[in-house]
Amino acid sequence: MRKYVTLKIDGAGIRAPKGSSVLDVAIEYGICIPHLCHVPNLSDIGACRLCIVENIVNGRSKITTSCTLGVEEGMVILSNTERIKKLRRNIAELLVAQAPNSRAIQDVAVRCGVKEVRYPFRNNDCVLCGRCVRVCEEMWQARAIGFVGRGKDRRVDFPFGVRPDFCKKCGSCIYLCPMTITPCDGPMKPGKEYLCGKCESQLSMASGAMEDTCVWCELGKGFSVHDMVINERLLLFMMISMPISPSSTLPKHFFPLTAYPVSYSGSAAHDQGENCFLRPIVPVF
Amino acid sequence: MPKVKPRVKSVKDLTELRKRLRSSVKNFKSKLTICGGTGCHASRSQDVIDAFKKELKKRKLEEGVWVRATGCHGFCEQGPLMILEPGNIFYCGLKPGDAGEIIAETILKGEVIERLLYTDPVTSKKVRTEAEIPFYRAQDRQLLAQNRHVDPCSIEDYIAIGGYSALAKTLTEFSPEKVIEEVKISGLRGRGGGGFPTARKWAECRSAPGEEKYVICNADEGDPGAYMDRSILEGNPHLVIEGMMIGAWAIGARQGYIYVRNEYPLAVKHARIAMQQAREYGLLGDDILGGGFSFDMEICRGGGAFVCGESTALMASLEGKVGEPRPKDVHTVANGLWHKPTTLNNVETWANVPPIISNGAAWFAGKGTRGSKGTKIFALTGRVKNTGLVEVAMGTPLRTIVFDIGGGAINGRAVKAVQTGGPSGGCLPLDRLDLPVDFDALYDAGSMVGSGGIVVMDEKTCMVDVAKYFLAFLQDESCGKCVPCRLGIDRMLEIVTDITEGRGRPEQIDLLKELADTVASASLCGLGKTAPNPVLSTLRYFPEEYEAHVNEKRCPAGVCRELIEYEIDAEKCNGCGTCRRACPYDAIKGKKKEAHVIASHKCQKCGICLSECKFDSIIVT
Repeated sequence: MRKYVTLKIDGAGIRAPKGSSVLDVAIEYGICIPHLCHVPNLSDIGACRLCIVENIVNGRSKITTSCTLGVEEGMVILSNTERIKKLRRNIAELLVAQAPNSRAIQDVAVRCGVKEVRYPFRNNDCVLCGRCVRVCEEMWQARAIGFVGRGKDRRVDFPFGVRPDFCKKCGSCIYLCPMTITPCDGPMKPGKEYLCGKCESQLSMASGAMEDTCVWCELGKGFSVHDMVINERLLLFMMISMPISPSSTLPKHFFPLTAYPVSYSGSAAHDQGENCFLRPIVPVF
Repeated sequence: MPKVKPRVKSVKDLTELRKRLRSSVKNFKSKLTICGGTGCHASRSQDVIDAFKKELKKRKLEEGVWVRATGCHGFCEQGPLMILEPGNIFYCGLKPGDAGEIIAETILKGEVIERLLYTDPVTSKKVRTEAEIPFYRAQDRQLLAQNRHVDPCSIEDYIAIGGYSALAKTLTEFSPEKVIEEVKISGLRGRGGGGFPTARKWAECRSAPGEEKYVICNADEGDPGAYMDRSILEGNPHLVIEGMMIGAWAIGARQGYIYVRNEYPLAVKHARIAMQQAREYGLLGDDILGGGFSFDMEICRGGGAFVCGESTALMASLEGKVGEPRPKDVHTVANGLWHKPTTLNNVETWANVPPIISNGAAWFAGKGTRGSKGTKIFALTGRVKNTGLVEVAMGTPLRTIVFDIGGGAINGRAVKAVQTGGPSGGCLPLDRLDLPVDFDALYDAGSMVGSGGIVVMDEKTCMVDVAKYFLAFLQDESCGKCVPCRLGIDRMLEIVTDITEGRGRPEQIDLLKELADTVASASLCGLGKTAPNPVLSTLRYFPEEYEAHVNEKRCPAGVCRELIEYEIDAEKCNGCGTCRRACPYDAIKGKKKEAHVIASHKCQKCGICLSECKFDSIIVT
């Protein structure tokens, strides 16, 4: 028998199964809390901090990540206050300055309200969201890749830099990587990056006709997608990444905000340069 | 025949052992207590100890004189230190060659050697005993004073001064709830930095469901310039062990860990010896003192990561994982080490527990302010005359610590700011020094008590440069897991570096403030949440320095190399040529007996000429 608790997210009374996280519940109900490192069915580490919410405890607001926050009876969560929006915008700005050529990160940034980036751009290939590390460890129990180094030297790498035998080249890491989406083909040249804000949604990249597609999500309000044409890859992604929920299907109006593998269009269009940690892995697709 | 140590099986055994140990000490005519703490060790106290032992052997006096190496006495500036009984004579700045003289003059004839006494800097008089020295006079030494009576490698010393009596009292008279109640009345708050009420932590851990519980001692002290925890663990490890045992009894734990950084080899060694001795006496293990309480502990050595001072990262490291914090939405008192209820306290917190139990909670609560009770140890460092370990009652004004105990800034300069709480704390200007040392008062002022480092800065310190130093430290020590801390600190450092190198723009100061707020609010662990404090406090109290750097491209303190020029005052320069010869870049030209000139295009601003010139003719603008 599943136990349920009731809580309030942004004023909406919500009945949620005990043991689920606030982020999962919010997404389930179409309340879009931006997130990057969270992947359904993988453990949450609270690393990207985009999914921060205000948790009101005894009248005092506490800022915490919703992916690591378990639901409790009578909880009051605010996911879309001015303060949260400002913090989220600053975090997204930090991220996009780090990887301005990633369409997924640009997308997150634009949706979090980043209009300009006040820091010099750096052209990194990785934002250390840890999706790849966790899918390798938890889904496949392989631990073929992991975090190496500390602080600004932190990177994703194979053990001792050599691809181990137990890496089965399954490609899950590439699949979940926000950096492997076809980069913006616009005017972004190394050293001349700027945020054009034109690719506002990865949905526009799904194949087929996209009439009436809402590409601009006003945070917290959800958005609707009509007649969405789903390609094979998207379907596969949805199968592995769908949150387990009592209803076990997604509401029609809902689409996860940062489900960027949606737009993944074939073998990695990653530049596969020297610094690319994915380089030795040959996608099997 | 090998000496078998008697196992202490009951409280009666312990009392008898203590009596026996006390009577055996009285046979010595004189006692030499030499500081073997880290500070004095660095100034060769071990050589002094060896010299004494050798000299005593030569004169066949070993039987009558007791030489004891103890933990830190606190006055590290003057080390190596020695206290000679009878007479309580305090000698400082010892050299191995002094051993013979001290034995011949003081021990045999009873005459005091003036040369080795401490000179009061104000009155210029020689001071005979510790109590008369201004550095010690203003202190309230509860924990540190024990150090001089105890050889850290001898459990017998500790038992003789009344050690483990608090444990005996706990096991025989107190129920676990009573212990927590006692600690609650005492008002003890965590000494590691956060100032969380210890009793509340213990009570929550006690009521958390689960059979297995753990206590951990956090000795992963990594603040630049702080060494309080190290000195306690090195000087009096049994005090910490006893505190942990009382805590374990209170929360119902059977296993304890001391997480100590491997960079503290002496602390590791002493804690290990102490545990071994306690086990031999039966004070660790099963059925301690016949009270039905079983407890044992282990040492875990940390790899020196600053982030492992954070509770969850420390626990991850203890578990054998990478030392990274995890979200604390469920507190560690319920879900800690190996997902079991865990109480983690700082070394100093644990060390405060036995005195609270033996002297009573009221004694402890009698010291300090309304919100912060007891005494606190500070490591006083920086540009101050008397560096060392200082223990004062909570509520003592910072001014007392810096000026009365510390003796003010060196070289007669003015004190400009005081940095408390290490990289997580803030810089307080001179006019805020009347603030009491109190968790809440310092927090409100934008700083914190922290683990207890106090760094004194004089007028030759650039506050922007200080902020840059701490940011660089934190950027280096951030684990890199969460975005605000990894990228936010990095960007803050980038901006501050721009400012110190003359590329600063006025809007960057606002960006710095906004970024600091983001990092403080959204970071995963305590390291990130407190990381912007050095920047925020310097921005709050020294905005004019930032403005001078940004708007006028000038460093008022003359520290930031890109913003300063070295010049020679033609009136003061007499052409001695010292600076010309010293300059490694050949930037100084001039004829003998004529004023010299610095060629600015060659000058690398190394500052060698400034320190070489005897006539103060080098000006920094």
